[in-house]
Amino acid sequence: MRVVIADDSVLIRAGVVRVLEIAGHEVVAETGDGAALLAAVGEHRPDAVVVDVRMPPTFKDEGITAAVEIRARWPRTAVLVLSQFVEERYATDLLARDTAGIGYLLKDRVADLDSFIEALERVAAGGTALDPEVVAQLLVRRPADPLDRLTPRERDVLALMAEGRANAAIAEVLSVTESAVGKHINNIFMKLELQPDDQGHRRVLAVLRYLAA
Amino acid sequence: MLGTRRLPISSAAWRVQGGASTTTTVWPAAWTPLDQRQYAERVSTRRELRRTRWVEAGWDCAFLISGLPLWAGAMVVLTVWTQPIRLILGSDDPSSAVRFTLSIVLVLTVLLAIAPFLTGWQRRRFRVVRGIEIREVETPRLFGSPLRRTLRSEALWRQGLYHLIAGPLIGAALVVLGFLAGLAVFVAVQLPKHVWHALDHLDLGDKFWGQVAYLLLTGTASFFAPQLLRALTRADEFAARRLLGPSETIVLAHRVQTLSASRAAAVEAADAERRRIERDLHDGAQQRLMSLAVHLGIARKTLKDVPPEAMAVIADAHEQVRQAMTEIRHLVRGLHPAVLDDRGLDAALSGVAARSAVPVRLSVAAIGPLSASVETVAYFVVSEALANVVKHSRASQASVEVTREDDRLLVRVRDNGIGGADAAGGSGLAGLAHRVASVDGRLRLTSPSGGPTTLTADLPCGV
Repeated sequence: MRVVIADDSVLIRAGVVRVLEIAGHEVVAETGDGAALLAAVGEHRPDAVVVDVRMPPTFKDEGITAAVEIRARWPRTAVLVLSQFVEERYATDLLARDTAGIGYLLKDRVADLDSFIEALERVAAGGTALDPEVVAQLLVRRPADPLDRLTPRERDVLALMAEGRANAAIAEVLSVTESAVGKHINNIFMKLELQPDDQGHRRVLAVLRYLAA
Repeated sequence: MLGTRRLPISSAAWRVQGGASTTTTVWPAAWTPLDQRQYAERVSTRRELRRTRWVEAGWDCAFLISGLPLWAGAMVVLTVWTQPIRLILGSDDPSSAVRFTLSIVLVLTVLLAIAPFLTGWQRRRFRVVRGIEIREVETPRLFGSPLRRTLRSEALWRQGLYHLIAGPLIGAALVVLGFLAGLAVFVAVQLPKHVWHALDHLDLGDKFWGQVAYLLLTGTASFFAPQLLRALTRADEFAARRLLGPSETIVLAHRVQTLSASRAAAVEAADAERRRIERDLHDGAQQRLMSLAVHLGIARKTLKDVPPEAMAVIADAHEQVRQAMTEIRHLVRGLHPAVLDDRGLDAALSGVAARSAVPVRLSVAAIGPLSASVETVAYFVVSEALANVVKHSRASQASVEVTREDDRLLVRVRDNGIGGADAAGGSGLAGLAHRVASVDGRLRLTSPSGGPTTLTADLPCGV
């Protein structure tokens, strides 16, 4: 997989590059700000971009703006946004159009190599990867009812679905069978009065639309 | 020296003052040049004490004389007025009363018209001759501002009182003093002639003893001349400060303004400091920790043939550094989240509510635009209150509600814990109350034993 990296910290860029190379991916360009990133993506047409949120010149949300633009201009390039803090408001901006091919994770997650690489590959394959902290932030803002009708286990499944995980991954995290996960998901969709949907990112979209409503 | 004897000032105080001339004074940012001048003036009065009293008397005299041109007109008017008053009191002719009333109206009109200019000149006189700054007051002009406003201007009438009554009376006293002194000189010059005449005729005459008595009297009085001149000078200063300067209300209002400006500056400085620390940690320690965690992660994944004990140490270090990253992230976010500046209070509260160990339900109404200081305080209230809930309340559920009522922002944090929270205890509530008070807000705590606990911050947010 060919990847472009954007982060104004050389230290962090070096870390991410090493992790990607160990996983067998090729880093085709490294940039330090949003404008240079757009130029690099236009030139290299990578499979995925790993981008920091706070970059020059304003050190606010350059990364988010760049990610949205990349998704709009080059739909075949997936974007994984990394940040030292995750904010549901930025997540909402990122996912406003579509949830396909977009990830938003804490930088801390890079240190857990396997799951980071798994998330990047999931995003590159057109999936979604949302940090559990973003999902938690979305959940605190929902009115108590009807979320209170969910059992604790169903809430766990809902959160994992919102992170963009497939049934198999959810089953693995919760140490249950895939068919049990399927039952939980049916219950959740019924209780929240959502249309049952197939696997894929449309399910993530439905769940996130519900949470961010 | 006489000056130092009159007002005992310790030698230490003089040394301090002497030292002050070589150091640069750093004024508080909220001080206007006027405040600085008044402060300097207080210091310089001490210096004046060193002058001898006769030199001072000379300065006092010059100062008072410098006022005469500005008082002269009013002194003439007052003198002329004493005539009709006598006539009116003693006659039945109504026309003289009418004329007198007309003259009063005329004089008052002229007075109000020229009072601001006279005040300007008096202010210059006090500054140049005595080094005293009479604060400027905004005064309406008789021509050029609405008549109602002019006539109701307290400042203008007080100035009129100085220019028409207080100043001229002091001027009159000075003229009388000067006349008596001149008379004494005249008598003293005449006296030898009388003595000569008396020796010639062996008769001292009727006037002689009277003149001697007058000379003795004025001689004694002249000994006290410096005090008299000083008293008149003080009277003039007092009258000018009270009548030409701002009234006590205005001075207090100015003081309140200065204080709130310096308080706002202090709060702003503290916020800026938090932002700086947040940035420093973001660009420094957090990045190094992350790099360290990544490298330990790489070691853990790629190192083969490592003794199991060594790998256990690496794995342990990896877990610990990730823990440290989480802690520092929570700490930094509590300081001043960047999203607060970027997207406002509503957006920033999601993070603080989500990371609480006690489940939180967050509801933020449409709160409209807020000032940065109010947003910072509101964020701080929620952050601290939730930290307290986790530490002390033993609650299983908490809620945060932010609403706006007109020009007030209400931040309410509730929990279903054991209650009994005490604002006086070391729970950080006292610090929170200070923080809320810094934007003129109020903090209310309801926490009966057994719960539930409700903490409400009521923040004014006039935008």
